[in-house]
Amino acid sequence: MRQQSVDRDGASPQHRPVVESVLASLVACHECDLLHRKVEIELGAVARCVRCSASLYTKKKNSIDRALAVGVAAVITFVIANCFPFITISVSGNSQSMSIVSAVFALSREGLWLLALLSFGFILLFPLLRMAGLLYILLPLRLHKRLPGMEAVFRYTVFLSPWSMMEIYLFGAIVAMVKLASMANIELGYSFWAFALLNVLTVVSLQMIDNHSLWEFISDAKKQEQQREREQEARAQPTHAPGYSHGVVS
Amino acid sequence: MLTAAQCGLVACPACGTITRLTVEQFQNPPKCQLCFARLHSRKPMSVQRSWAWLTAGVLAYLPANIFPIMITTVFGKSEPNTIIGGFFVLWEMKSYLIAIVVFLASVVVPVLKFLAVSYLLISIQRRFQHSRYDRTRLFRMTEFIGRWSMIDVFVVAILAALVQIGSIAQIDPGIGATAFGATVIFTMLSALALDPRLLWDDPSTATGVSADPTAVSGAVQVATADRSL
Repeated sequence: MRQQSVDRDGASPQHRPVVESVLASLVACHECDLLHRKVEIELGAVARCVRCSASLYTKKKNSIDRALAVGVAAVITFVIANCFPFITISVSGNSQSMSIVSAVFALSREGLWLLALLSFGFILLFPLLRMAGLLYILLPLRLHKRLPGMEAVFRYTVFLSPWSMMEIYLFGAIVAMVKLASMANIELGYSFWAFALLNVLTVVSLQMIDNHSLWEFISDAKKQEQQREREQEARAQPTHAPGYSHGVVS
Repeated sequence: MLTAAQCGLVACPACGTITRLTVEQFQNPPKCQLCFARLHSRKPMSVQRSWAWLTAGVLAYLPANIFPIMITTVFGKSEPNTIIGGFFVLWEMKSYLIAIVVFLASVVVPVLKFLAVSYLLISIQRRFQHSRYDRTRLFRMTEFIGRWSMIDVFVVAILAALVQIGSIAQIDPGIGATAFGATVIFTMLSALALDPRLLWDDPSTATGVSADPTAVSGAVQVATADRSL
């Protein structure tokens, strides 16, 4: 028994599916590596590591539908947030307004190109890529289809998440306004409210589904597709396919 | 209590899929079957990389405090503002809450982060056995709060974009902002390089034993369900 398991491909044909199903039933804590057996949990519950209490997986109602709905709303809000003035100030008759992207240009104006480029990523590009990446995963999952490179796209989406800093930018705007409050009239534009809503939607979308569950959905979809491919191959073999001639006639 | 590594298993760093590895494969791991990410049981060179990014972050923090992060020009008179100067201006304006937020984000958080990551790295190198749970929580806090220091850079950028009012007032970003941004990014990379699993690893029960998973599953912990989010 031990001898078989040491060699990955040495396992007997009967033994291998058993091993695979056992591996699929395990989850390792991403923070302390403790192995857990996955168990069914109630709706709304969180499964936690018994040793370091990191969250392992959650179970949510209609998670894909809801995450998709919030994701579409977030993209629309993102577009609105970039179409209008963000903040307008006026001092003794002179007024000046900015949009979200103006902050990036302001940094590049004084030659801080590197910082401007990174800020552009943190407040616009990375959040947008992250939202688009999530939709690229959720939409096909909802429609029971597969798009090329879903796994890689989701991997990069997760990788980008610490570098998406929209909520920090929002608080930065609030601090900046407090600094200017005593010397200028401040007017909040449509963009500001859209951007605030966008941040709320981002927080909500994270509550809808966790990464572990999403990876499980992706894994299931991949297995189903492989199963279909195998069936198609079997059907394409003329000798051992009973339904083949019927398929051609119809 | 069994870790994945003790059972000869590795969880994909990206998707979490469990893969069984031979002893040789632990040294040179293959790619994940599901998402094609390069597998690793522990982040490679975690402690060295984390120290390197942290050192870069500390070095960048010096120019961040010396050079102005923005230059304010009111009626033709220019005045450079440093990080700590910005806090004093807010304090004098009696915006105490915002002043404290700025002070926390630009001084307290970076310095605490230097100290926390150094402590965690030393605790891994010296193989501390105590308070592993608390150190994991410290790691989580460090990871979560570090990005918020970026608020200072965004405040400068927004002020520079807004205050362009002809000859009355103008705010321009200073080179200190780049240095401060670099500090935040370097310390974030330092926390990302640090593998929290190393806080729990016992040198006596290292990796390598490729056990039979069917036999292992009986000894494995069952996850605890928690209703409170």
